[in-house]
Amino acid sequence: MMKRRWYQLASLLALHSAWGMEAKWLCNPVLSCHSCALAWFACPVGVLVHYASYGLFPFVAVGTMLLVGTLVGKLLCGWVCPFGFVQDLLHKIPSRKFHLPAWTNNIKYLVLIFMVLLLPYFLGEATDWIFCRYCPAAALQVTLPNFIASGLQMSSATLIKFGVLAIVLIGAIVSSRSFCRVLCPIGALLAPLNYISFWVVKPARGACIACKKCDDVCSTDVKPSARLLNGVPANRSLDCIVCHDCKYACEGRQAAAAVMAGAK
Amino acid sequence: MLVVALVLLYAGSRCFHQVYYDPSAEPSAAVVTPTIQNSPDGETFTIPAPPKPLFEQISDSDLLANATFTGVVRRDGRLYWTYDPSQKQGKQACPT
Repeated sequence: MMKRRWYQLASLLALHSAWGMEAKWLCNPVLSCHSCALAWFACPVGVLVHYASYGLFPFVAVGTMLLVGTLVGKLLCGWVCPFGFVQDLLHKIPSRKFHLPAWTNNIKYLVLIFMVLLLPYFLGEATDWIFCRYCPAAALQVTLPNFIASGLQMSSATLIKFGVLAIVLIGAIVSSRSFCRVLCPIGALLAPLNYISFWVVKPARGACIACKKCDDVCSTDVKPSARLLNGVPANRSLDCIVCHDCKYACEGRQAAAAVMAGAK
Repeated sequence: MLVVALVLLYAGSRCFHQVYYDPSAEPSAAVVTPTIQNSPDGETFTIPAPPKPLFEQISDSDLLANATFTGVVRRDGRLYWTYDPSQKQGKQACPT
């Protein structure tokens, strides 16, 4: 898990280091607002919203998302996404923790369909009902710095955005990766690709002792033990963020490795 | 799905979009009208600047980059620039 934190920190810094330069023709399939002054790449959500308002199919954006998702599934969610990193850090704050009901994981598909695709298509990107107007990542990266720079000038749109941000951040404290599971449209787009991605979180063949340690450490509560026990890769799940925490926590794998080391 | 992704990327590389200049926008102040001096009589002629094109063809990647700051909007079934693309703008934020 510590190794993943370093990757996440490096990604956070690398993705927000564009002092002048930028590559906004490239969609990076993580939630990072391209209006951030330091952003290198385009946010897929913003691009999809605009293309929906244009009435055009975003070949390059969708092609990039499909390519990345087919290769690594939702690996970027677990190892690169800066907003995911923020949520992981917030979840470390000691508090009472909750598990969200499984049905809430389907809300993000409605967010994707309505607030990213249909409403911008029918109402234009100037409508108040697009995801970008409520995006917590944009609130953190753009709205908050602008709010401070403008001398704390508050508008109703700013207030709503901060309200959504507050709810999401509190949700991250009490429930691991709650935003990713419930609201993230990028997660909704990439979720089905977890089933076909080349990247797999390999089960420890024959070493599973059904201790359910993997379920305990799972960031998104997708119960990897059910798959690992049957020899199915743990990341073959819609909401798995391919963090590999289950693999690292696997006691059966560790025991098998110890036996192998002892045999040598 | 990998093939689909590559096909989409290839299609994007071959896809071009017509983005129109806003007809109500002021002409660019940077336009220079060259002059020619006819040496024997000293007459000068002013050649007017070429007319601004009605639209510009841009690639899907360029449209994607412009989408990140609402540099292009759709109006009356056409895409229009919201700024003068010939002028260097620097980093821009998306108003959404």
